[in-house]
Amino acid sequence: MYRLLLFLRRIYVFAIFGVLEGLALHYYANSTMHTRARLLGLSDRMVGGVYEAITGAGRYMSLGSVNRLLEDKVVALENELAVFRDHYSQEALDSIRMAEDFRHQYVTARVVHNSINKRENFFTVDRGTRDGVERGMAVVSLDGYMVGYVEGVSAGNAICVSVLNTAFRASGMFAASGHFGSVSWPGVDPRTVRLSEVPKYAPVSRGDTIITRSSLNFPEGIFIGRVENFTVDEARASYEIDVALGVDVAALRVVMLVKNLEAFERLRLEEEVIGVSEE
Amino acid sequence: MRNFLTYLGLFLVAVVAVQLFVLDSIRVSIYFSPLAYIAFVALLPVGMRPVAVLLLGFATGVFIDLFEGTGGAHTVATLLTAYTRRWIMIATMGHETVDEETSMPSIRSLDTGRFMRYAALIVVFHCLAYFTLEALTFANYHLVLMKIAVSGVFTLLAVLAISLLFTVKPNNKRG
Repeated sequence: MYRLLLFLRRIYVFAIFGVLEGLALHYYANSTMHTRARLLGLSDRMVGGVYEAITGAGRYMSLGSVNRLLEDKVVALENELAVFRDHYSQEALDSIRMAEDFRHQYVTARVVHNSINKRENFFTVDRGTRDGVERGMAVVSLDGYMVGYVEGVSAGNAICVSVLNTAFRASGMFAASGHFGSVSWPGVDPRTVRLSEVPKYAPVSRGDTIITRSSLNFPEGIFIGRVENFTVDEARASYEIDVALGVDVAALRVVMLVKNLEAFERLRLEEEVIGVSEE
Repeated sequence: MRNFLTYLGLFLVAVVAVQLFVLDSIRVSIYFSPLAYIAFVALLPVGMRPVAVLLLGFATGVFIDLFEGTGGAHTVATLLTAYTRRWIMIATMGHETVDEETSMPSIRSLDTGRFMRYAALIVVFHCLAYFTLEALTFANYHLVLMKIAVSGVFTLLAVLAISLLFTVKPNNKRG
């Protein structure tokens, strides 16, 4: 009788373990990058203040506010410049378009929460819908290097997919020749990304500059990094290229968020007409 | 008993805070990823019922997954560790201790050697489970092993520090 009870007790613990583990595995298998970003957004709203206190702890108070002023100034100028730049080129092409119809919009943000040691790294910035941030905006370091893109937004925060995320994808292009391929992070070195699917006939040499190609998430011409190493994949007749990243994600403090207005408008139109969304 | 439950709640919050606000803010290498929160499961009283350990392990995993944005991987690994904990204790402390001891495992309640062996084994088990699950593949497994080795050492150090700072004998604390 005692043995039977013992047996029952063991089965009972095992059954509970099985059910909970099944639940957790099911959730893990079915969670997408987007649901993870949303959960992270939720938790960051709960403890975001603590993160901000920690990241701000080493910073002098006045220095911080002066910095912010300067950043805002830079962005205001950048926005103004974008109007003029596009106005100028559009006037040359088409005199009917309006001056307000510029293509890119910039917002600065502080990084409050960041990681590099996971397979799927995200970072959180202190700007959200309140500041005009939208899902899909490009994230660029202050010196103009590709960092990631916005995946989830709340009123005051945005969760961004870091370039150091194995699910991150971007289109990368040789600045000189225009040959392009797909950029991803193999999860090995936080200073190196992989550029693949570049056709075998493209001229490739060490030190070549790689920039972004225009896509939904990125405007064209954002600096990604330089070619470090490359091998030819004979089976696919394409290059596998290691690119040394321009940005040091671990040391990020301030970033710029860039909205590609044209691409956003195109997407909105496509959604309206075909009723498709990204996911 | 109620005192002890309050203590467990505070202990969980403290361990999660150490993980999120201290260890996660150190970004030195992709191999440095200590899983210090496992200290909570590892340091639950030796004689605690396995069901309670499982449920507390589940809660810990859910908490950490929520804050890390890892979508369930920590919960799966923590449940596995919580379920295996009893056998790890039996293997490192011996049957008698597991059946009789009621306090939290620490250098004070066990002797240093047995506690170190127990802590090391449970940390290695958890790191092995979590980082394998995170990689989801055996390709490039040497990198995963490297991560397990580096993070395992720092996880063990964190667990030892947490055990020195936070553990009490629950018998003395029951009101």
